Amino acid sequence: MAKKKFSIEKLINGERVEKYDYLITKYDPLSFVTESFQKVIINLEYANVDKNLKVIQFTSTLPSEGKSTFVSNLSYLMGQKGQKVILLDLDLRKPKMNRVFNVPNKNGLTDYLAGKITLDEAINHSDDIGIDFINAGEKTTSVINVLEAKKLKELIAQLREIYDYVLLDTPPVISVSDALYISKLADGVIFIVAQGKAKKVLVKDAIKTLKEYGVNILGIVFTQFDMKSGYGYGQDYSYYSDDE
Amino acid sequence: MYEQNLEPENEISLLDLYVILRRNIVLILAFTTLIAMIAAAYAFFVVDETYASNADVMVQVQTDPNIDGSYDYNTAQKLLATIVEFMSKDVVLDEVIRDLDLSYTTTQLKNNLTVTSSNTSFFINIKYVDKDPRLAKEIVDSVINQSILVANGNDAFSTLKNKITRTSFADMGVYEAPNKPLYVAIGIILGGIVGVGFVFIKELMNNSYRTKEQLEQAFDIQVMGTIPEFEVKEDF
Repeated sequence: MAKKKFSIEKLINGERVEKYDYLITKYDPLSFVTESFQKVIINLEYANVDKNLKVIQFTSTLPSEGKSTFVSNLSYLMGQKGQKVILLDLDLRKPKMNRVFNVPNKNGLTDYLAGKITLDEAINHSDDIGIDFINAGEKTTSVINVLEAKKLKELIAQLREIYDYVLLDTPPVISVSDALYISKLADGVIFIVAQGKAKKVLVKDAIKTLKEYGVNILGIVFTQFDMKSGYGYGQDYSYYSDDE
Repeated sequence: MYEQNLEPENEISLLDLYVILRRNIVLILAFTTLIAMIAAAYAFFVVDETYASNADVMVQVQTDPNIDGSYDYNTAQKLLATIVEFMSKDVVLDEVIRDLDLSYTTTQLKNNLTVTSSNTSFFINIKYVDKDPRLAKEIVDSVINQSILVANGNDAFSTLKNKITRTSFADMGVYEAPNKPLYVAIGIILGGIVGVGFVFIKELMNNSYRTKEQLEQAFDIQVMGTIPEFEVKEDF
């Protein structure tokens, strides 16, 4: 979701310049954006009054709809609230979590599942963000095998005991079936839809697929919402905004 | 059922149009600048500059010496029209080409030659447009000279004999085309139109979710929040 204010690249390609290690909720805690994240947490807490949702998966229709940015900011805020949170990068094909935490992608999940390292070695702690995380680890060609591995199931069961929340960052639904395999491990899925990105048909298709798999979709989060787009919302902004 | 066929967003309001345009202002401006620049480059560097030169002749109309100040209006008009046509006929233009030793064909000459008369006077204006201002002047003068020579010297044109009188000499050609500011202005307007058109087509093709309400309507799933797009602070 983070983008640089201006760049030639953006002008030409209309592409978003991603900067994953910029946690707006941390660096701009009073902003309206942070407030919006807080609202999501409140909604999540309402959905989870019985505290039976612990392993939450995040996915979207297409890549770059803001999953990693969303998950990292959410986990930071959860951590701030004193929750014990661990973040797992299950996007084994295009891992990004290491970029959020500004660390190399090594000693991660695949390494642990391959038995190269212990769980303690796999779990990193970010003092900066205040939560634990596990990188994707060394790239593997047999992604599905990894995701179906019994050891991964056991790992999540284990983490479930230790942490309040186990957040899973996963690939988008449309391109690969990874998210569907992962959904078997999760208690619920939060589906991310970026404004004006994926065609409606694709989003419907993705959600339909998830539903057909019997996935418990906890809710949708609408990201990359352009405040200036005029699709409602605008008036609130001036009220909250303190440093525009 | 999570799917609903009711999609009220098919309507588009004036505000929506404004929003679409404002959101894509960079694109529109880019198109405008690009096309204006192409137009300017074309006007300044591609199109040959042309210069126009012109001069007049007067047609002598026969008056009846018995009736003071009288003449046959019909005949006069026909004579005027005939001379106008005559001046751009091959019989004259061939002589011009020979006179000035031009490499042009008569068709080329005709394309750049404009001979006009008015209904209210006996003057005929001869205008020639050429890349070379001096040549434009020479051609105009030659057209007049050769017209007079042919009219007076060739018996086939006895009706035109002594009817054409030169009333002015051509000046060095003055700048005629291209109208550079006009090209640029048209480029800007065209660029704006193309830009706006492109943006609307782009918006039309982009059938994606724009509002939280659209999402809520499409799926029977709670929308837990709306996260605005944000900008990385400069000092970060």
